[in-house]
Amino acid sequence: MDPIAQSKNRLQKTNFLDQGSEDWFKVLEHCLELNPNNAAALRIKSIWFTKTGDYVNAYSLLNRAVELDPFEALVYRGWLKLYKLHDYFGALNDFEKIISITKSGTRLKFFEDIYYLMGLTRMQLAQYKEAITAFDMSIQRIYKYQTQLEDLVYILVDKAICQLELGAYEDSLGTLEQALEVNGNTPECYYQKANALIHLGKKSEAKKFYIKALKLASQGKIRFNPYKDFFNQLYIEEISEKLDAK
Amino acid sequence: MLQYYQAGTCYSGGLRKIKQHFFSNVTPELSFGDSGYLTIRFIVHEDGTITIVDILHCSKEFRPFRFNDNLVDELILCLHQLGRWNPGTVQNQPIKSMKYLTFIIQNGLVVDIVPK
Repeated sequence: MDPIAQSKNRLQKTNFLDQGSEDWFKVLEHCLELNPNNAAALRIKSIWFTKTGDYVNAYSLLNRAVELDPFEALVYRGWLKLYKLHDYFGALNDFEKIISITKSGTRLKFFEDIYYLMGLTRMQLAQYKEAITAFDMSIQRIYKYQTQLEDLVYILVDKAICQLELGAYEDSLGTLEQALEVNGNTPECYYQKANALIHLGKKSEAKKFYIKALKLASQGKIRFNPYKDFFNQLYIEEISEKLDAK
Repeated sequence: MLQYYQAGTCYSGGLRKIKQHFFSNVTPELSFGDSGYLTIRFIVHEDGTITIVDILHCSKEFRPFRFNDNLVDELILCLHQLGRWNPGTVQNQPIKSMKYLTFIIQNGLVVDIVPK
């Protein structure tokens, strides 16, 4: 077997080893000895450095991977820039490249829909109208392909937050109703609904939704990821503070 | 050693509380104007106390870099002031785990903290 194929085969072994363990590193090093241009091995190795906060090493490996296999590595690099480094212009650049490479933007394994990621990035840049367009695109794709359905409710919540930022409070409430149809046990929906109602001067109605959000949050329904906080991550304390203030 | 996300290591009140603490306690270092990413890696012991393992400096272009020592010292001090963490657990038993905080710094100011 030629070294390139050997390197590719050997990389499969990392799936059965603890990420970051001595054996895991040994397998990766062997893959890269066999084929220093194994983009997947470079990308996988970079993930470990990212997960431990070593961005100099992570980035150097990832940039090499991007040169060798733009598609796979660009998605991850864009994701990294968005969530971990808050380099929003850099993330946008990578996501736009992915969309141009794949024409309509491919459906991604392991990541959120590319248009959802684009929307989140635009949102962080306070480009709310563009964010809404991207979220709408993502919603269409999720319905069309029936994948990443678990994100749907949060895409709608993020869209509603953008509408709130634009002062479109009624639109925001409409979007949150759609979100509640997707999942009626989402504290983030009730929390944002209450925020929209506050803007509309409906304080007593808002209070009911803050209470509902708090109840669901206390039941552990807040969106949670052990690795990172989401944008607009909701905290129980935040809801309590709103209730105390109103 | 397990990483924080594998063991459930966390700070009571989460990143929100961590940010509140750092944003209200770190003195702006306007005179230095450094930008980039500063990561403090530390062990969270079984009793929730911490030991700093290393500090990684990264420029905004993701190259090796060195932040101003005063800023680094202040961040370390603030980290210790946070007090005890909730240790990671395995089968309900507290364990030692690795945790890090990355400070996103623009022109000498901490503008954000990741990951959790």
